[in-house]
Amino acid sequence: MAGTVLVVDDSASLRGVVRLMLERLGHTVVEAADGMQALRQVAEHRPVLMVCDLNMPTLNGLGLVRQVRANTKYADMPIVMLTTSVDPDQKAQAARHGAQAWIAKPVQAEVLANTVARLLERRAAAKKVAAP
Amino acid sequence: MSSPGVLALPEALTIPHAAALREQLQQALDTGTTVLELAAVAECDSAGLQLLLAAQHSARVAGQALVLAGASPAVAEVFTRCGLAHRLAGTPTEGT
Repeated sequence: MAGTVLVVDDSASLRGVVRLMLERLGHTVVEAADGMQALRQVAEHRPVLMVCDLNMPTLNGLGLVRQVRANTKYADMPIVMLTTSVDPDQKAQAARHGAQAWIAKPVQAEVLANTVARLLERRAAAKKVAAP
Repeated sequence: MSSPGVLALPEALTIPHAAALREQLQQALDTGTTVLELAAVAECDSAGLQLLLAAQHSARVAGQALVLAGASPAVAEVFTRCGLAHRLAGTPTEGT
C-alpha cells in the first residue's frame, strides 16, 4: 500500500533518515522544513500520509495539523506526529486536532513501518465502506 | 578525560541507551560543548544517529557549532549508510 508520504521536520538530516526508512517500505517521499512549506506540499502532492515533527519554526506541528484538517479535501489523510515530548496534554491536543498517531524520537524503523501500515490500512478500509 | 568543550561519548549509541544519551547530549549543549568525540563508539544504530543529528541541529538553531569528531568505524558506517557521511568531522552546521 505504497504512496506519497510527506515528511515534515526542520532538520534536513533527520528528514533524510525518515525518508530512507519510508523509501525502504516502497513509499515516495516529499519533504518540508516547516509547517508553511508542508501546507504547500500537501496541496501540490496530495500525500497519502503525513509524518510531522512537533517543534518547528514558522508554523509548528500542532498548527499544521489544525490547518490541514481545516481543509475537508485532506480530512482522511492520516497524520503521524514525531516528538521527543511525552507531555500527555500535547498528545491530547494533537489528537483533538486530528493527529492519529505519535512516534517518539528517535524514530525506530519498525515502529514507523507498523504505524504507517496500520494507518494506511485503516484509511483504505474506511474508503471501501464509504464507496457506493 | 575530555578537554573543555569536548564530550567523549560512550561505547553504545543504541536504542536501549537513547534516553540516557539524550540527557547527556542535552547537558552537553547546555554547558557549551562544541565537540562530540566519537572514537570510542563501538555500536551505533539509527537511534544513536538521530540523537547525534538532533544535537547538532539544536546547536545550530541556538547559533552554536557542534562538531562530530573522530568517528569510529561503527559511527561512520551508520552515517554512510544513510548518506550522511558529510555530517561527520568539520561540518558543524546544516542547512534545511
